[in-house]
Amino acid sequence: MTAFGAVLALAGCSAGGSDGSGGSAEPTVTSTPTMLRTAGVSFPLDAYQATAGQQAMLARAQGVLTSRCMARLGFTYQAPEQPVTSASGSNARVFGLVDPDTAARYGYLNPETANAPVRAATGSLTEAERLALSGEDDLDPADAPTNLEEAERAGGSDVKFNGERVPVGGCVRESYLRLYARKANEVDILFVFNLKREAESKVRADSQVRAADKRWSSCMAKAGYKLTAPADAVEELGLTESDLSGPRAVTAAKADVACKQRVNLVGVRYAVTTAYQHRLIEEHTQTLSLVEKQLASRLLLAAELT
Amino acid sequence: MNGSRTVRRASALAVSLVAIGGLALGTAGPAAAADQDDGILEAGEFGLYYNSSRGGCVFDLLAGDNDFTNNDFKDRPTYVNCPGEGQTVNDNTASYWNRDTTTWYVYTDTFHEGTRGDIPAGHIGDASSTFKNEISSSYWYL
Repeated sequence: MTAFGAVLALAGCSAGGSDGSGGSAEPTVTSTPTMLRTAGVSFPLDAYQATAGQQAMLARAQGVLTSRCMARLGFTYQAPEQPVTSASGSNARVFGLVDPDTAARYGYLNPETANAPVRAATGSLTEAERLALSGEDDLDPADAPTNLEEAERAGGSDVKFNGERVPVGGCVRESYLRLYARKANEVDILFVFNLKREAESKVRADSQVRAADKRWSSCMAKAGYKLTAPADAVEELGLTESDLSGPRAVTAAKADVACKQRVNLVGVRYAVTTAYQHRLIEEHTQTLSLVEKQLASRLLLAAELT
Repeated sequence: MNGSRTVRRASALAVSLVAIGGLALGTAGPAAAADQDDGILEAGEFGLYYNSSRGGCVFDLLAGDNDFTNNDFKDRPTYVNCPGEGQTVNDNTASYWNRDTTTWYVYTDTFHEGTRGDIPAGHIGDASSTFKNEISSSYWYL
C-alpha cells in the first residue's frame, strides 16, 4: 500500500474538476494506485474523525459523565463497557469483500458478524433508575435541549430525585450534551459521516467506478458467474445468511476477489473516493475547521475525565 | 442481501445500578423490559425514523441487525398508520435517536459493510438533508 500517500496527493490536486456549484461534475482522477485490500486504508475525511483509540476514550468519558449525573440524582451507576470485537479499521469492508484470505476462509461471511457479542443482562433497572438514566418514556425528542447551554437554562424536567431535577432525556442525554454538544455552534457529530456518505453515493455513480464494475462482471462471466455488480453478488448468487461461508459461497467469493484484483476494483474506488472527499473538504472548509477544533477540545475533556 | 433479522437479542440493559434514595412514589418497582422492533422506541434502544426530526414510524433496536432489507416500519397503538408503515427500513432512515447507554454503529451496506457512522448514546439528530436514507445495518458493538 505504499502508493497511498502518492495517490492522496495526486487525487487531491486533481479534485478541482468540480463545477463549483455543489460538485455535480465528476472530479478528474489522474492517478490510480494498484491496490488489493482495504484493511488499514484511510481516506481524507478520516482526519476529521476520532481514531479508534480516541473513540474508546470518548465512550469511557461519556460513561463517567453519566455516572456523575446519576450520583447527583442519588444513584450509583457503573457505565457498561463499549464492546469492541473487531481489530480491523472502520474502512476494512468499505468496498465489501476484497481480501483473498477472508474469501478463502469465510466466503462472503463478514468475520465481524460472526464474532457478534451477546448482550448480557447484569442487572435490571427499577423504574426510578431508568427514569433518571433515560428520561421520561413519553418524551417528545423535539422538546429535548439541543445543547448544554440550552439545557442548563431550561433546568431539567419536572421529575426530581435527591432534590435534583432529572435532565430532559435523562443522564444519558446530559452526558451526550456535555461531551458532544456543549454550545449552539457545536457541529453535529454526524457531519463528517454525512459527507462520507455523500462521497460514497457519488462514487458509486461515477463513470470510472461503473466501468470497473463492468470489467468485473465480464471477468466473473468468464469464471461462470452471471453477475451485474459487486454489491449485488450475494443476492444474485442466491446466498442466504446461512450459506455465506458454505462451499458454494467460498468458491464464488474466491473468484469474486480474484476478479476485483484483476480489474483493480479497489484501486479505482480508492482513487475516486479520495477525489470526491477532497472536493467535499474544499467545499466545507469552514465547518471542517470548526470540527477539528471541537474534536481537539472534546478529546482534552475526555482525557481529563478518564 | 438476504439474512435473518437480528444477530442477538438483549434481555435487559447491561448496567449495574443501586438506588441510594430519593425515589418518587410509583417508581421503585422494576422498569418494564424493552422489546425490539415493536415500533416503540424505549429506554435502552436505538431508533431509526422514517422521517426527519423523529417523525413517522420508528425502527427500534436493542441488538445488532445485519440486514435492514428484512425489516419493515411498524405502527404502534399510540401512533396507528404512522408515515412509513409497511415500508422497508433499508435505505429509509431520515433521523435517529440513540436512547441506549452505548454508541451505536450504522453502515451504509448490509453486514458491516460500506461507510460506518458512529452515533453516541443520547444523540438525537437528522441524517443529511441531501444524502439521507442510506443505512442498511446497525450494531451496538464494533
